[in-house]
Amino acid sequence: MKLFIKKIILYLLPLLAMSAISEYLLRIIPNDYNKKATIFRRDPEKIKALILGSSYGLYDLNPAYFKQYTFNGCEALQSLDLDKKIFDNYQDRMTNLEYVIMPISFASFFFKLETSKENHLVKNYCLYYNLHATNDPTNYFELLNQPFSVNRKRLVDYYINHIQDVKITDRGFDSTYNTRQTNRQLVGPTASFAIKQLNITDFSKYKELRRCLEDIIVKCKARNIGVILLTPPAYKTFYSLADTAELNSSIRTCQSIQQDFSNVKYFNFLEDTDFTIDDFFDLSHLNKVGAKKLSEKINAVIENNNSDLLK
Amino acid sequence: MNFISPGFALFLSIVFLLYWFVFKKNARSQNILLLVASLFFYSLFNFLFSGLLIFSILFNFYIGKLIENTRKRTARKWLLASGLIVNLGILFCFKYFNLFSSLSFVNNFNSIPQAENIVLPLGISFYTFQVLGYIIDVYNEEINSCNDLLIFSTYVAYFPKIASGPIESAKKFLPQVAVKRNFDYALATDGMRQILWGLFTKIVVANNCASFAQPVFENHDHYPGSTLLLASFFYLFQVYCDFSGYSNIAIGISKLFGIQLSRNFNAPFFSTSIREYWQKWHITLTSWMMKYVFTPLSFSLRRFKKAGTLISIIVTFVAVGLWHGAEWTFIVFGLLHGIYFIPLMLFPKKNNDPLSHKQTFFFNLARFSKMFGLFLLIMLTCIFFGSRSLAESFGFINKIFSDSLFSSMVWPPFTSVFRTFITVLFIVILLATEGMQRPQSHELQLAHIKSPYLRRTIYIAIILVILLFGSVMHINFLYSRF
Amino acid sequence: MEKNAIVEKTLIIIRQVLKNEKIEWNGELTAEEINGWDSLSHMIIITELENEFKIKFKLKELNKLDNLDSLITLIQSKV
Repeated sequence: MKLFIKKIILYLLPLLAMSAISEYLLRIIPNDYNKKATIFRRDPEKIKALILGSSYGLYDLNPAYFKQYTFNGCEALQSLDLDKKIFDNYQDRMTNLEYVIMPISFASFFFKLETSKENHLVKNYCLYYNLHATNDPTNYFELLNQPFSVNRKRLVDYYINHIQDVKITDRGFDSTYNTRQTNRQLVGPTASFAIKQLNITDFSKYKELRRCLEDIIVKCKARNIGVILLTPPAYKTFYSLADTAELNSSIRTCQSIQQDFSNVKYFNFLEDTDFTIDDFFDLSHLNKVGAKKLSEKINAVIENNNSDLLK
Repeated sequence: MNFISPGFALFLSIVFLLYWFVFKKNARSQNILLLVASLFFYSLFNFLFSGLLIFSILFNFYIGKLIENTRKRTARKWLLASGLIVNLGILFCFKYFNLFSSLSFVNNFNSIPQAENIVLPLGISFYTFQVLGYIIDVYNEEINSCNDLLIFSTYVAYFPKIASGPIESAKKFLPQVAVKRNFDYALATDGMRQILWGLFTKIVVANNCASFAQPVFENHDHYPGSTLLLASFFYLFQVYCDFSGYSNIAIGISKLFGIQLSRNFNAPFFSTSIREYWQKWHITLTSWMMKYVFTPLSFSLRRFKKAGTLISIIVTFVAVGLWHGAEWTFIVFGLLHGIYFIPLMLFPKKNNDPLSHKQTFFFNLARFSKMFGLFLLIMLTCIFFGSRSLAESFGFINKIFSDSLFSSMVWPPFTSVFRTFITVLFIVILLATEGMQRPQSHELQLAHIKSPYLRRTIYIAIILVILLFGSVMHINFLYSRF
Repeated sequence: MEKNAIVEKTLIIIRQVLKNEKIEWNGELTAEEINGWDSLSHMIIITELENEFKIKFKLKELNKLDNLDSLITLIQSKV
C-alpha cells in the first residue's frame, strides 16, 4: 500500500506543480476584472462618481464625458448582489465619492449571476476583487472553474499568440461597441428571436436583489452620496416586442425606490427619442456614439444638480 | 457526479483511503463502506431515484430467496414471472411509457421523440438487467440465492458500474464481495493504468470526435455528403471511445478496491465478421442478451434449424436496439445488426484454428478488406443510432450517396483542418495500440515491456496528451442516458 | 451406448458445425476455449446432437454444463 501511495504521489507531484504554475500564469493574465480591481485599489480616493451595473453600464456610460473623475465599475452580467459586494468592499476607501450611477435594466431585479448559466464568471469577483461572492470552492481557482481545454487556450492565446484580453479604458469603459449592428439585427425576425433569448422566466430573486440595491442606497445616504438610477435606452423594436410586465416591473420598482429614498433620482431613458438607430449597437445596448450621448445627459444632471436635488 | 470531475476524484480518494485504512477489518465493513458510498454517489444524481434503486435491491433480494425456497414448479414459475414483470414494468414505465403513450412511436416513423416528461433514473437499464439475470439464474438453479442483503445490495448499487455498466453477472461478482479484499499492489496499479487509458479514450479521442460529429448530426441539412461521411466516421469512434473509455475507467476504479469487473470491449474494429464484432463490443450486454434472450428463444425454435436460429438472432438484436430506447432509429439499428448475420448463417466459413485464444497478428489484404467492409456496415448502423428519427437517418444516408459527397467539406463550428487531422491521428494511435495489445487484458497492460523507463515514459506521454489535446466540451458519457 | 462411441459421434458433429477438422477431443475444454463455439453454433450443435442420439435436452441441463466431459455425461444419461 505504501508503495502504491508513493507511486501515486510521484505521478501527482509533477501534475500538481504544473497546476500551480498554470494557476499562477492564468491569474496574472491581464483582464478587465483585474484591471478594474487594480484601479479600485490604487486610486479609490480619486473617484467622485462611480458607475455600477451590468453591460448596460459597461457599454452605455463613458466616464470620459463626465466632468468629475468617474469610474465605470460595471461588467457584463454583473448582478445587483455583486454591485453591492463591490460597493461594500471599496466604499470606505472612496473617501471623495459623491455619486453612484446605476443603470437598471429589465433583468436587474431577476438575474443573479451565481445562479445563472454563466456562473463561471463569478470566479472573477472571487479571484480579482477578493470578494466572498460564492460558497462554491471551484470559483476560487482558475483551473477548477472552467475546463482545462478552455484555460489551455487562454494560456496559449496570451503567452504564445500575445492576444490581449483587456477591452476597457483606464476609466473602466468598454469601447468595443464601435458601430451599430446591421439594421437586420435591430428589426424583424432576428430581433424577435433576440428578444426571446432575453426574456426572464425566473422571478424568485426580486426581493433579494431589490434589497441589495436598497442597501447600497442606504449606505450612500449615510455618507450624503447621491444615487442616480436610470433605465437605459433601448431600440424601439425592443420595447415593442419585449415582455412589458418585466419592463414595467423594473421601471415601477425604480420609481418606488425614488419615492422611498431622498438621495435617489430616477431617469427613464427607455423611449427617449434623442437616441436614434445610429446610436445603438444592438437592441438594448448603445454604441460609442450613443454612449457619449447618454453620458453627457447624466453628466448634465450631476453638473446642474444643486446640493438639495439628490442629497 | 461525473467520473471526470474534481468532485469525483475527491470522492474516490476519500472512499479509497477509508476502504483500506479504516474499514479494512473484514468483508462486512468493506461492503458497508462501498454500499454507503454507492448510495451517496447515486443520490447526487437524483435523491428520489435512490429510493427506486433501494426498492429494486430489496424486491429482487427477497424474490430470489422466495424462488429458491419454493419447491413447487408452478409457484416458482409464478414468482419468476412476478419478478420479471415488476422489473421490466419499472423499466417500461421510465423508459418507454412516454413514447408509447404519445403514440408517436406507434404511428409515425418520422417523429422526433419529444423531451421526456419522466426523467430517466441513472443506470436503470444496467442495474435492472443485472437483477433480472440474477433472479433467472436462481430460478435455473445456476446459482444459490444470496443470503446476505449487504452483499446483494453492494452487488446492485456498486458505484463504479451503476451508471453505465458493465452488466455484471451475480455468479462472478457476489463471491468477490463475500470475502475480505486484501490490498493487491499489482491489481491497484493495473487499475490506475486502465483508468488512464479510459481517460485518454474519452477526453482526447471521444470528445474531439464529438466536436465534429455532434454539430453535424444536429444539423445535417446544412452539410454536404462529404462532411456527413466524415461525421459518421467520427460519430462511430465517439460512441466507441466514449463507452469503452467509461468502461475502462469503471473497471480500473473497481480494481482499486480489489474487485474485478468484466471486460466490456476487446478491439471490436479488428473483427472480420459481425459475429466476432458482437463478441468484442459491449460484451456484457451481448452476453446477457445471448444467455437470456437468444439461447432460450433459439432453443425453443431449434426444430426450424437455421431459420429458427436466424429469427432468434434478429429478435435478439432488435431487443438490443430496444434496450437503448424505444425509438425507431434504435430498432432499425438492432434490426440491421441482426440482418448482417444472415450471410454468416447461410454461408459459414471454414475455421483453421481449433482453439480460440490464438490471436491473428498477421495482416493481409483479405483480412484488412473484411475489417474495412465490416467497419463500413457498422458505420451505417451508427447513423441510425445517432439520428433523432428515421427520416433524419434516411436523409443523412441519402445525402452521403448524393453528388454532394464530392463537394468540399463544410467545417462544423469550432473545428478546423488541423484539429480534425489531430483527431484522426489519435484514432490511428488508438487502433494501433488496440491491435498490438489484443492479447492483454486491457490496452495499457504493459507488463511485457521490460524497461520500466519506457513504460513510465508512455504513461507520462499519455498524461501530457490528455492535458494538451483533451476536450471537455462533451464531458457527459453517452451511455449514461440509457 | 458406450462413452467412446458418444465421444466419436459428438466430435464429428462439432467438427462439422464449426467447420474445423482440426479440433481434437479434450474433455476438459469449455465452449469458450474452442474456436467458433459461441451461442449461435452452440444451438446448432445441440440440435444436431439431439437428432443424432434421438434425445431431447432441457435448457436447464444445458446451462449447467461445465465442459465437454459434462456434455458427454449428459448425453449418456439420456441415451
